[in-house]
Amino acid sequence: MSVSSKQAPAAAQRPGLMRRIVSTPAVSISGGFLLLLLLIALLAPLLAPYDPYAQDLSRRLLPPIGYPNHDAAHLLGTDGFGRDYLSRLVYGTRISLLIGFSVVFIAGLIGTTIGMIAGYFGGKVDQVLMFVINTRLAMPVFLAAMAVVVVFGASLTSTVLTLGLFLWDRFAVVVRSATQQVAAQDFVLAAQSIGFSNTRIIFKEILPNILSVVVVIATLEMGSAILLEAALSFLGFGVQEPTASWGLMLSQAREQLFFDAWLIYLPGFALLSLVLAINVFGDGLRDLLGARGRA
Amino acid sequence: MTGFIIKRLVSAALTILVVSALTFSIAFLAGDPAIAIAGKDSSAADIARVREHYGFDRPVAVQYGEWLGKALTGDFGQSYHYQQSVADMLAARLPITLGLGLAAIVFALAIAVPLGVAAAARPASLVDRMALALSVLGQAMPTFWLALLLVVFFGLNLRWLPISGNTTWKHFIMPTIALGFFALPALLRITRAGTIDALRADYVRTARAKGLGPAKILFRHALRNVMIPLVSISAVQLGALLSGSIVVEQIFALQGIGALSYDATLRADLPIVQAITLIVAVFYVLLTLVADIANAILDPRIRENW
Repeated sequence: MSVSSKQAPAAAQRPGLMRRIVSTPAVSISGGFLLLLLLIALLAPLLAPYDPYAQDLSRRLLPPIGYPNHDAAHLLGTDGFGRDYLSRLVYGTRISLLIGFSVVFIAGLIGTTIGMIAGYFGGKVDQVLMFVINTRLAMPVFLAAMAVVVVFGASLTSTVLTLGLFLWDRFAVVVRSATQQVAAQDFVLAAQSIGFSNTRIIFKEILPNILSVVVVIATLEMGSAILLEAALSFLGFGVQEPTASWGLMLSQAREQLFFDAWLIYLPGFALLSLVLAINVFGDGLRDLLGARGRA
Repeated sequence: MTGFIIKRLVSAALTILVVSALTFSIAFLAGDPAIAIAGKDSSAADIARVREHYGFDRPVAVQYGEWLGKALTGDFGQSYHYQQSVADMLAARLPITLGLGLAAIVFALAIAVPLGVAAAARPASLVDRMALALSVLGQAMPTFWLALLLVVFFGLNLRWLPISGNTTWKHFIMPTIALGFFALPALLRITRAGTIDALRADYVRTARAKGLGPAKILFRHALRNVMIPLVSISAVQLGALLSGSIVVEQIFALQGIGALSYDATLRADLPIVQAITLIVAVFYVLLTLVADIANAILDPRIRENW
């Protein structure tokens, strides 16, 4: 049996997976919505009607469409600094997705590495790494993020780094057990008996086989990363003014809560629907890939 | 069994040691703590006096040992800003946070258990779909946004509930709902999954064969099987709720531990931040330790994996 032949079935099933995504309404609808938000984020400068940072204090707190005194120039009104609300919402998509992707990239890299090493080598290595994972689980993410703010100050970079350095636990735990399963299979034993190096086996034999698991966790962790950033920014410990982050917009909207409650509706709804779509997509993807594993 | 418990205790103690060292090192990452306390504009002599007063001039290992030793006896030092004992400040605020956390868990359980069991009794039914929708929604809902929506609808528009403060029980209704909704999805999923598993088990088939009614099977046999994971998840959730409590306490102006950690972060009051972080970590380690030992007593297979 050739060592590389096990990759062939995975490649052959690619179009099958795509077709199943399309034929599963929950996954295709949430996936389509995510694609739309991704486009909005990428094309933000073209889509936003105004500069999201341009203040006009003579036109502050204009209500959105459907409210009395609505100004047709600003479809969704303006915030407390007279900035166009629609434009800030559009640019907020960028921040949430940027946070989501970069946090998951850092966390995925750390967690997948730890999980693969622990799962492949086992024994003492596994015990030490399990201890590292358990220690990480004992650290409260939100409080740790606040401690980092005390030390390094709040910014987009420190938010991304903190969340990235903290949210790798689920990657490590799931990748570890997936690696244990793959490592026990014949093609890995064959590769070992030929004398391939451990590095080569981990990257060429094991990694391709656990990649789908990593993608599923990445999707689900992205949702928590986005919610955590929003909560941190809401408290003033995350992304800073004037950057348009939905969490920060809600924090500013809160100051106007008594007179202009409409300000809190859209940023929160945007946040909810983005995370909802990500979670539904991740859950669906897991079910689809899990079904392939059973077949 | 004794071997398992000893191994587990050693690992828990080591975890607490590592977490405490990380927590302690925050103060030194922040630059010179003496400058932070004395203020940036202080004279060199003042800073030196502060350094000597707090003992910052001694080796770091000695300071860590002293800090940890004191922390283990419940002494977390003095707040930089308030010049009060951190332990006293925490003790004064603990009842609010603990009460809110417990109320939120009870609220979440009151919805999760009946709904989860009903969903499991009839998979793919309308109730099951509603339960799924609720757990998916709860997972994606930003806690602070839900809290703001509650304030707008029940506080400002309907004027049913007070929106800030902690003087009456009415002040705790909206915070409980906001925080409870955050704990709901995990409890709902575990109840549903556990009940479905139990309903497939042999002892339920036996109960059915004996001619027991569906209600008796559900509540006498199936739900009992769910209790153990439900209790351990609730306990772990209680720790996680403290994080959610930071946002909720801040919005509703409840003066609990969450609001204190927010305030301490703003003022760079490190002893408070360190104490809260360490307490939450120790709380988590102890809860998982108890849960692991309890599970090992119930299920011998777990012991063998250690």
